[in-house]
Amino acid sequence: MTPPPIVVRVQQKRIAELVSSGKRLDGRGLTAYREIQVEVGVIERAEGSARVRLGKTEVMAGIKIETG
Amino acid sequence: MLNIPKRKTEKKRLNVLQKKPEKLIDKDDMRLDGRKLNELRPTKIEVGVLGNADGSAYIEQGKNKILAAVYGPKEVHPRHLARPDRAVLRCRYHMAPFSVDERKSPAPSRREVELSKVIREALEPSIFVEYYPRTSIDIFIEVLQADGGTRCAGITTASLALADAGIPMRDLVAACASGKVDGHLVLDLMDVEDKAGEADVPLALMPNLNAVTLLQMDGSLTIEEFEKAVNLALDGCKQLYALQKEALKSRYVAVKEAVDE
Repeated sequence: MTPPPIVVRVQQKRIAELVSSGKRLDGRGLTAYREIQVEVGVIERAEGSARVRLGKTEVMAGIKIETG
Repeated sequence: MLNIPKRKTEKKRLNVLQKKPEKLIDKDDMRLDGRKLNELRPTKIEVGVLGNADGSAYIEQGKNKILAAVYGPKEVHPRHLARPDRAVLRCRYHMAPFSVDERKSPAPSRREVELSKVIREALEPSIFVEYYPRTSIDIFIEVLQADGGTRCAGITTASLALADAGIPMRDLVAACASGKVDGHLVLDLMDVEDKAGEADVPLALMPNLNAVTLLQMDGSLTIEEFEKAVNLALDGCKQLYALQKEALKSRYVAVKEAVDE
């Protein structure tokens, strides 16, 4: 297998160092969550809907009901 | 909001008994949502809402909720689509399955394919495509909730996303529809007015160049009515343009504050 590119190796090392001192790249502790935001009912047209933000991850879901 | 059975029956009643509401415009020229004939829906625009896209924007126009993202200029895939003298512009207009009353299949419908094309053609004249040969600029317009006039709101939003991506442009493109409802010419039709009304005229404008990049008509109007409708839509585009500029400016204020910190 080809060795990982230099940047990845440097980053790997950095992450390992931080973890051993109980920290992470974004400054969180080892057991800390990213910022969490939860909203429901964001789409009025859907029967149900929600949006969740976890740090920079953002997901929206909508539910439609119809007869089968 | 979560009381599903009640909402369903209400919707059904509206569908069966009031396919067309008896009056879309009352005797005081007031519309169903309380607007005047020449009034836009309340509109909120935000620029730079997505971290992973090169440019993005979000609009809420009445009940419309639309997200636009721009990726590029970047290498074209598949390679054979690349043009040696300019960037290719690609556009996907898509409606979320939950954006309308009846669930919409997530596969691109005939209508969405057509709208993707007309939106691309409405935006292309505003972009200096010749500055980026052999590249592609990809635009994604996602309708999260639809309430009429989504092609126009999509253009307005996508144009801001292009500006946010830092792509050199001749002007922003603002788009707005006008139409005829119950014999009155009205601005910015919402879903009921669009479906029950007599005509619908979507129009996209580059306000500084005073150039129209999209003009369509569904329904029928006399020549005089058509001219009035176009002028009404032009006026609406100019109002939206002011909102677009405002949104773009506040994005840069936010960036400047972040840098200053």
